[in-house]
Amino acid sequence: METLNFQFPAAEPGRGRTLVGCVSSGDLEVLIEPGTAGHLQIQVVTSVNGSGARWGQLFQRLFDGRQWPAVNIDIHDFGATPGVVRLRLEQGFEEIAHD
Amino acid sequence: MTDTERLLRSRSFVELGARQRARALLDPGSFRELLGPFDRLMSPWLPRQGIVPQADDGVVIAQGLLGGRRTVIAAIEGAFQGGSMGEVGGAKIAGALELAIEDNRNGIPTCAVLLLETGGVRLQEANLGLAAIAEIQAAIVELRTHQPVIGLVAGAVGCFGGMSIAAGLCSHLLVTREARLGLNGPQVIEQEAGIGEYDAKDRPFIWSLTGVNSATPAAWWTVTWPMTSTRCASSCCSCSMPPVPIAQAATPGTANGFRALAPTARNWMPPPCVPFTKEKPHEPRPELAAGPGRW
Repeated sequence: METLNFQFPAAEPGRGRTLVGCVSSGDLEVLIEPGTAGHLQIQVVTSVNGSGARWGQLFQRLFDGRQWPAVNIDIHDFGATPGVVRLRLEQGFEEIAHD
Repeated sequence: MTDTERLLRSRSFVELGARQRARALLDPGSFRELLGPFDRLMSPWLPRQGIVPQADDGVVIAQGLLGGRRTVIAAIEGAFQGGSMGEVGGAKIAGALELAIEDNRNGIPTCAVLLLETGGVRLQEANLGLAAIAEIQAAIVELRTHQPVIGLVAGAVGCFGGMSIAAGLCSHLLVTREARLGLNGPQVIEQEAGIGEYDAKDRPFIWSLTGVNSATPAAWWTVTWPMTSTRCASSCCSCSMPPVPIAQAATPGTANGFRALAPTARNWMPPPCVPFTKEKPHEPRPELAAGPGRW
C-alpha cells in the first residue's frame, strides 16, 4: 500500500461533493469535495506499490489543457486500471456538475 | 442481437451497491445517511496491514421511511473486503440498531432492515469484529421486541459466519435465489466433517445446501426490481419489500448450520423474475413453472 499526493492548477472552488466507485477488486473509490481556489489536490491510497509515475501521467493527461474546478480528490484504489480510474474521475466530475 | 434498450431499462436489486440498495428501498426523498463516507470513519486496522480502507468501512447506515414507516437501514457493501465486519462497520450497525431501540423506548416506532452481504467477521480485525457482531446480535434481539427487524440477503456474496447467526435472529428473513446463507464456508465444513460427508468441490451439492431452493441448485435468476411499492408477501408489517421468495428465519441443525425452508403456499410469492439471458432466453425450469407445490 502506498499514499501519493498530486497537485494541479485549477479555477474557482467546485460546488457540491460526490462519491463514486467502491474499493473492490479492480475498482476504486473517488471522493470529490470543494477545495481552495486555484488548487486541485489529489491524494491516492493505492494497493499497488511503485505506481506513482503511472498515476502522475494519468492525471497529467486528464487535467492538462482544461480549466478544472478547485476540488480535493481522495482516491482509495484497489488495483484499478488507468481506464477505470479515468472513467470514475469523469463520472465524479459529471455528478458534481449536475448538483 | 442484444436488446440494449431492455438492458438499460432493467433494474436489478442484486446488481446495486449497498448505498443504492438502501436508497432503492426507502421512500423517495426520505433517504438520509448517518456517518457517511465524507465523515471518513475508516478502519484504523486495515492500513496497518497494508490494505486500502474504504471511506464508509463498507457499511451504509440510512434513516428514512419505508412505506411511510420510520426505518433504519444498515446495508453492507459485499464488494469491499467480502462485506466483512470490522470494528468500525460493525459499530455503525450496532449503533444504528441501538438508536432505533432508544427511539422505540421513547414512543417513536422505528423498525430496521439489514441488507446482509457478508462473509462474516473481518479476520484482520479479529476479536474487535467478533465483539461488534455480538453487539449487533444483542441489539437485534432487543429491537425485535419493539418492531420488526427484517434481514434481506440479495446476493451474490450471501451471508456467512457470525452474521448468518444475526440473520437467523431477525424477525423475518428475505432471500433471493442468488442468496446464500450458512455458518461456515464449504471448505471449513469439509475440513471438519470430512470429504466423504461434504465435498467442497462439488458445486451443485454446495449450492443445493446453502441456497434457498434446494430443489433447483445453481439456478441463476435476475430479480427485476420494479421500483414501485410492492407489498411484502409476509404478513409481518406493511413495509415495501422486493418481490422475492421468502424463507423462514434460518433453522440450525444441518451440516452448514442452517436449513432454508422450502417456500410454501403461504410464504411464497410468484416471482416476477426474468431468467438471466445473454442471447436467447432460457425456458422456464419446469419445477418453477409448476409453482410452489413442487418445491
